[in-house]
Amino acid sequence: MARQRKKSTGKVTSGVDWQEIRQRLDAAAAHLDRGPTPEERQDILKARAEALAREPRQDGKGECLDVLEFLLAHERYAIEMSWVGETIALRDLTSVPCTPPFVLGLVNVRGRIMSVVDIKRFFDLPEKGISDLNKVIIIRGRGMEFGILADTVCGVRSLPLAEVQTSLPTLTGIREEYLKGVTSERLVVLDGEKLITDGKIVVHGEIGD
Amino acid sequence: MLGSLRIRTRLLGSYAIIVALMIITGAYALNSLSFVASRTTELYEHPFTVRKNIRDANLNFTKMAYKLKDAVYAQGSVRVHSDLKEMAAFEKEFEGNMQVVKERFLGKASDVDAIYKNYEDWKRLRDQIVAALEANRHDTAAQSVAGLEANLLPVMEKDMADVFTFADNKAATFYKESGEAARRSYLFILVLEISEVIFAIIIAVLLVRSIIPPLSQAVRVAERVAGGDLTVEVPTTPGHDELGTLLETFRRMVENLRSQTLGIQEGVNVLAATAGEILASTTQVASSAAETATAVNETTVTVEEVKQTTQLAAHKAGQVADTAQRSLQVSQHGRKAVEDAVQGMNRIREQMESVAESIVSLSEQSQAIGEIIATVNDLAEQSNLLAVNAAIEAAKAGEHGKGFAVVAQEVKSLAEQSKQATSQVRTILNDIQKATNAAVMATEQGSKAVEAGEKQSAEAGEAIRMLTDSISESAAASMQITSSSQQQMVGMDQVALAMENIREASNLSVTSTQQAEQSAQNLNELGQRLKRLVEQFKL
Repeated sequence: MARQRKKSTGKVTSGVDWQEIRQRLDAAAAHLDRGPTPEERQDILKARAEALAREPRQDGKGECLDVLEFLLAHERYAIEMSWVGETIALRDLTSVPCTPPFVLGLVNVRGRIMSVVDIKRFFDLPEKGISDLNKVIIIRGRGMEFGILADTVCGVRSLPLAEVQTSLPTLTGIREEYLKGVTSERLVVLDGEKLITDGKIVVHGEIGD
Repeated sequence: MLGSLRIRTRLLGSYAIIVALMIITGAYALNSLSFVASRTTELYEHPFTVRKNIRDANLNFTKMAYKLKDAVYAQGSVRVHSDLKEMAAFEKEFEGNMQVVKERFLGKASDVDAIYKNYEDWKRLRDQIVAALEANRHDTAAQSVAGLEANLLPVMEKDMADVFTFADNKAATFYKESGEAARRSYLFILVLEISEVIFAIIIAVLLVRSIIPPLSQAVRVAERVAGGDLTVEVPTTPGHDELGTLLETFRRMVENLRSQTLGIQEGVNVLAATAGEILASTTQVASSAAETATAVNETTVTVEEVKQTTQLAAHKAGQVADTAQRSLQVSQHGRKAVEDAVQGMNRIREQMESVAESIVSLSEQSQAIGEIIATVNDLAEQSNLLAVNAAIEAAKAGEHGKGFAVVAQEVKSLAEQSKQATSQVRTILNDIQKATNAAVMATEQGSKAVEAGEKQSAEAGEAIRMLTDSISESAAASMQITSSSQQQMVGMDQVALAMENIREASNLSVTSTQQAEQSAQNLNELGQRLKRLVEQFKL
C-alpha cells in the first residue's frame, strides 16, 4: 500500500515519502529503546561458547617460545615473555633533557620511575608521533628495568622455535644485533637479553660547563 | 531729267498735269453746255411762252368780242345773261394770259402797254354796251358794238400781232446763238482732247523710261534670289529715288538673306542633330514609360496584396488586443501568485531555520555520544592491556597459570570486541557527523536558496508588476494599433485607388510618349527635310 501511495504521490511530493521516513524513524527509535533482541543475545553467547569450547592447538613439535607481540610502525614485533614485566598505557611522559634521541623520557609506574626507549630509532623505522594510545612494555632482567614504546600491544602467543629463522643474511648492522629471528609470518622476534645487556642503551652523561 | 525726282512726285506731277488739262476741257464744255441750256430755257420761258399766251389772249379777246356781239343781238334776257357770263369767263382767261405776257415779254414794254390801253378802252365801251342792254336799249348797244368792231378791234389785232412777231423773231435769234455756241465748243474740245492725248503719251513714255530699267534689274535679281542663288550682286543706281532705295534695300535683303540663310543652315543642322537626339531620347523615354507602366502595374498588384495583408494585420491586431487583455488578467493573477509565493518562501525559511537548529542539536548530541564512545574505547583499551598483563602474569606463573591465561585471553577478546564495537560506533558516528554536516550544509544552502528564492520572488513580483504595466500599456497600444490598422486599411484603400489612377495615368503617359516618339520622328524628318531645303541655297 505504501509503495503504491508513494508511486501515486511521488510526482506531487518531489520524491520524498515523508510517511516512509517517519516509519523508519519510528523503527530506529524502537530499536534503540529495546536493545539487542533475545535471539541476537543468544546467538552472541552461543558463538562465544563455541569459540571457548575449541581445543587449543597443540603442535607438540618441540619447544615453544612464549612471546608478547606488538606493533611498531605497522610492523609486527615480538619479545620473549621472560623479559616482559608488564604493559602499561603511556601516560604522563616526562621528557628528559640532555639524553640521546632514542630516550623519550620518564614515566611513573606505580611509584617507580622508569625510562622509555623508542626502539624505532634503532631500526630506522618512520616516526609516527606519540599519543595516549601508545603503550609501554616494561622489560625487566639482569638488574635492568626500562620501557619500550609500542604502538599497539597485540597479545601473548607461543611460537614454535622451529619457525624462527635465526640467521638472516639481509639483516645487518644494529638490527642484526637485537634480532633473535624472523618467522614465516614476518614477525620479528627481538632478543630481550641483548636489549637489556646492551651498553648503548645505558645513558651516562654529565652536563658540564 | 526725271531721275532726280522721286517717282511719287513724277507720277503725281504727270497725273496733275493730265487732270488739269481735263479740268480745263471739262470747264469749257460745262460752260458751253450751260450757255446752250440757258439759251434753251430762255427760249422756252420767254419767246415760246409769250408766243403761246399772246395767241391765247388774242383768241380770248376774239371770243369776248363775239359773245358781246351775240349778247347784243340775242333775243331774250336769259340769252343775254348767259352770253355775258361766258364773256366774263373769257375776260378772266384773257387777263391771265396777258399777265404772263407782260411778265415774260423781252421786247419793249410799251407794246404790251398799248395792248392794255386798247383793252381798257374796249372794256369801257363794253360796260356801256352792257349797261345799254340792261336798259333794253338794243339799238344803242348795236351801234356801239358796230363802232367798236370798226375802230378798236383792228388796233387790238395789230398790237397783238406785233407782239407775236417779236416773240417769233426772238426765238429764232435764240436758236441761232445756241447752234453757234455748240459748234464752237465742239471744235475747241476736240483740239483740247487731241493735245491732252499727245501730252499723256509723252508723259507715259518718260515715266516708263525712268522706271522700268531699274525695275528690270530688280526683277532679275529677284528671279535669281527666287532660284536660291544668294551670290547675286545687286547693281547700284546713281539716283536717290524709290527704285534706288528699292535696289539698295534689295541688296541689304540679299545680304541679310545670305547671313540669315547661313544662320538657318547652321540652325537647321543643329535642329536636325537635336531632333535626332530628341528622337533617341524620346525612344528611351517611351521604353522607360513602358517599363514604368509595367512597374506601376506590378506596384498596383503589390498594393492590392499589401491591402490584403493590412486587412489580415488589422484582424491580427484585434486578436492581439484581446490576447493582451487576457494577458493583463493573467499577469494580475501571476502577481498575486508571486506575492503568495513570497509569503510561502518566508514560511519555508522559518522552517529551514528550525530544521537547521534541530540538526545542530543532533550534531551536538552525536558529539556527546562520541565522547561516551571514547570513554568506552579507553576502557576497552585498558581492559586489553589488563588482559595482556594478566597473560604475562599467567605466563610467569607457568603451569599454574594456564587457566588464568585462558581467562586473560577471553578478557582480551572481549576488549577487542568492545574496541571493534566502539570502532563501528565511531564509524557510524562519523557517518552521522558527515550526514549532519551535509544536512547542515544542505539546510544552509536550502536557506540561501530560499533567501535567493525570496529575493527572486520579489524580483519576479517586481518583474510581473512591470510586466503587468507593460502588458497594460501593450493592451492600450494594441487597441491603438487596432484603430490605427483600421485607419491604415482605409488609407490602403485610398492608396489602391490612387495606384489605379496612377496606372491609368501611366498608360496614358505611355500613349502620350508613343505619340511624342512619333512627333520626334516627324521632327527628325522635318529637320532632315529642312537640311535638304537649306542645302539648295547657294551661298
